[in-house]
Amino acid sequence: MQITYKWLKEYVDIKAPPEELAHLLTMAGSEIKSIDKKKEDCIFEVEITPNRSDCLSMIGLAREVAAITGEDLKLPKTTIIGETVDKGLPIAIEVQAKELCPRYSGRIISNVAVGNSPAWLEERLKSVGLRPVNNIVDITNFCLFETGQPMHAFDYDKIEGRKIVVRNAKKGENIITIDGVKRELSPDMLIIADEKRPIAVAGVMGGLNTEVTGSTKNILLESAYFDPISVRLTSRKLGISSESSYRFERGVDTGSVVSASNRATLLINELAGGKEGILIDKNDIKYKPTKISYDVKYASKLLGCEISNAESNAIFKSLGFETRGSGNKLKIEIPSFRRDLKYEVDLIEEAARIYGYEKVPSTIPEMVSQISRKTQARTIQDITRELLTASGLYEIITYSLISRNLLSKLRPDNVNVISVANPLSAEQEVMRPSIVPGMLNTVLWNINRKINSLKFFELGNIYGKEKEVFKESLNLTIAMTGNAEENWRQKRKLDFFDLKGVIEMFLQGLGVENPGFCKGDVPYLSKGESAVLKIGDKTIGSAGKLEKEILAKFGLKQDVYIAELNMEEIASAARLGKAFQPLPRFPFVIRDVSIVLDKNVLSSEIISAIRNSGVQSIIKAEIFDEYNGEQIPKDKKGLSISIVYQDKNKTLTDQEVDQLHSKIRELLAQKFSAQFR
Amino acid sequence: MEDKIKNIENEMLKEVESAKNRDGLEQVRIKYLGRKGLISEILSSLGGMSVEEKRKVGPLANSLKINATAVFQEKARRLEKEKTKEEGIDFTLPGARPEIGRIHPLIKTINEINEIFIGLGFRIVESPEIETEFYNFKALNIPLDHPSRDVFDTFYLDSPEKTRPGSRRLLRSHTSTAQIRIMEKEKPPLQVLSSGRVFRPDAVDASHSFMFHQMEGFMINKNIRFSDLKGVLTQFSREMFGPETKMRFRPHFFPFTEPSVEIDISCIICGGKGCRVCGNKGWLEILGAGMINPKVYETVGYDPKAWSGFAFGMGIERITMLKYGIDDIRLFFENDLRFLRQF
Repeated sequence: MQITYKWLKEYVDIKAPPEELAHLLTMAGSEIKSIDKKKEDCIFEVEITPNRSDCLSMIGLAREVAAITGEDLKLPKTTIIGETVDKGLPIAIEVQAKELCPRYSGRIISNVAVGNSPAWLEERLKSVGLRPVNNIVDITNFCLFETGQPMHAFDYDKIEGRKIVVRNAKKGENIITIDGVKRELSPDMLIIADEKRPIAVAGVMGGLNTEVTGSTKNILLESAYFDPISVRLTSRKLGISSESSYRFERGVDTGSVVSASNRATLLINELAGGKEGILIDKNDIKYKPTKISYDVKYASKLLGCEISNAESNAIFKSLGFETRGSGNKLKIEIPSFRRDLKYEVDLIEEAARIYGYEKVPSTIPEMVSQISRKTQARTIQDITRELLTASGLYEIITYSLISRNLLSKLRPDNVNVISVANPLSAEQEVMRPSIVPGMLNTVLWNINRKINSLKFFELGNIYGKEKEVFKESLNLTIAMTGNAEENWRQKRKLDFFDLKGVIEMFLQGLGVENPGFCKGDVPYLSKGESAVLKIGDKTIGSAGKLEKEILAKFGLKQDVYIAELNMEEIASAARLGKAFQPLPRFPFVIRDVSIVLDKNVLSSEIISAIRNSGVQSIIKAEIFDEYNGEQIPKDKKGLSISIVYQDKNKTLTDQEVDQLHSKIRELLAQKFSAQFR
Repeated sequence: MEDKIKNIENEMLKEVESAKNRDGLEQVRIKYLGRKGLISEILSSLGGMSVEEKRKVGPLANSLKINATAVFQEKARRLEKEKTKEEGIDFTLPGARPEIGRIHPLIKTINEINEIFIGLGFRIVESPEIETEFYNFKALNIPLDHPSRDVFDTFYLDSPEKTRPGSRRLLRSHTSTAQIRIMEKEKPPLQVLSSGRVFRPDAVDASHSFMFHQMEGFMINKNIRFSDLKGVLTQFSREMFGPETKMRFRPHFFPFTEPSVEIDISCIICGGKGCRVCGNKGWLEILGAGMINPKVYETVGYDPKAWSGFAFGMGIERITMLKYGIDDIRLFFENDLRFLRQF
């Protein structure tokens, strides 16, 4: 909201220069966002928090200034003495929607001279960014800014049937608002109607059909309280945000309906002449002021700073509250313009902010010692990030919400996908059931910028429905594409084993024992170059080369290797506390064996057969070469295995090792029909 | 004779200079300094000279020998150096850098803040992203008619069955939900920190995103005071933004805290003089905080008279943008490698 230094000064003596005043207001909760210095005045942009609708006016802010500086608040005259009734101008006011309009007042002012406003009034309105229209409209706008109470003036002679009805709109009704736009109305909207048609959208904008113009003679001045929620929904639905709706949405003071109307009437008399009629006030509000007990001692204890009885009392009085009681216990009566104050803590804040937050000291509380500073899950996430970045992967963050279109590129069915009820655009239609689509988009983004070698991971939730229950679970997705290494010495394309190596290293780092890559079907991965990952019998993820067809759908032209891992399963298999293994005291012996065997035998089968051979002294067995050269028949493959023998209790002799090794050779020959080379 | 010595010296210097390698240089050395070399010849011819001649030529010949020795040594050193260069590596070629990745800048900020609060005795917890109206609003004293409950400010989820207003499923629009999640499960004293993704239907531009990150912290014990809030958050800000950081505490409004406060730090770019980043105000808003509203305690079944505490929240994107001078929030989610490499 815009306010001006000069205008504010009408209601309170201000000794502080503009910058200082801005600081004072900011430090009391009405933040001055910017100061615009003009020749003769100073415009402040002030941000009022949603609880302080009372500050959406000059008087409201002047009250704040008065409380902060200790000056008196000067209010304009709002009493009308000797009201007259003009018998020739009758009006009937009927409020049908009492819940949405608990108070509605109207007053007829006859024989007004509509014309331009005096210069001072036009200046005032211009200074807060309003365009002067005519003296009647300008006065209602002026009073809105002065008092915070929006008002509307109708051309009385255009009101059909001399009747005002406050009601919900009927289906199919519409109105042309004063901005010239035709608006379709719906039954949830509150309107002001005459006998036949809508003449205003309540609290939002008046209708063109009853607008005050140069030829207007008699007016009906409306001042009312409209339900904040109703005004907000209507204003949103119609796409109109006016100075009026802005204030009604936040709640105007039910107590200012009449005084504001009086103030406007007096100004109209002064500037446009006319004769005022009696105020018709349809009031359904039975306001009983809130009374709050206030314990000065408790307040001081909660703040960590003593604000004395006298100080507290003075602060409350300066804010316009009635105070009673003596000693530490006060009874505070809250005026109608401060509906935000309901409890003792609310008053503690009032006392503290006027006293000054700056004057409250800084203290360090006694801390409780807690044993676990991080959850196990969090620790595992931290280690995951460490291990993956150490392997050359960059962490990315992609959106949890994606479009159906993007998701359908990865999988045709959208079963068990959670959808958003009110997406802003198609980009936020569903909650991702997989990180892969977002990650592939990121890969494409980079490739389009000629960055072709990429290694990414994202650690984040994926979402889905499980038997109609919403689930979110932590997932790790890895994507790798382009070259594994590229420098002047060598350039090598990434392959499956680069991805697998990262996963193995990562799982080993978390102490996950015996993860296995097994045959499995992952729809979006190439059949020949993919595997599912298991710990024991549990499938914890998958890894492999992206299917060509999927690649094309994402607009990618180079191979991408993808892994998806369930972090919750991995976390439960992780063993972080490792025991130290004593170093072996006796030397080891390496024996290699090269075999030719059936192409379909997986190397992992060979290794596990060796491990489970019962030979205790084998501490390591690994494949160090796979070959399919000319010497090897088409349905066979060659493997070279390196086996490390070591005994805990003695040095193995050559003969002993030979004996053990020949056992293994026998085993390989028997179990896999291996031939030795 | 004197001319002869001069000529020998000149010739020698020329030949030394043009020697290409050690062998070549050795040939030259033998020619001049060898036993039957030119210089040796002169020295041995001194014996047959007159006293006067000897006195004249002697010193010249001697200094020629000394100079020559030095010239040969120097040339030998130079040749040795050149030889090393010829056979060695071009150390100006780029090193084979081991490739390491980087964690995302937002996570980096979260980790940094976590570390500071862990140091202050806080504990890190996780809290769900899919929430209900109860946790996101009601339990936090955000009434049904609060503007932020409008569909415009929160993403609601399509529920399997029709749910009543008030218990609808949604994506949390702030991390304050973690307060309720923890308080429901545990009893004070509590010193807790939680961070993560939050969602609001905002159109994406340089400063808005429909998904962003927040961090929430709170502390509840007997006799926690507003002054403690000031103390703890001052300590945090100084550790996070530097010991010279000035702070100001402005009254503000949050439904779940009372008194509420917004905290500004002196602009980390201009130091408070006023610049583009702080909008010429000299201050940057970084934290929202306040004493936990007794209404919140009532919801989770704490006795508001027995316990008191404060809560605070901050936007991770905002802090990261301020810290590194990033001017577009979209950079965080585009994940351009040229951006990620910088952290």
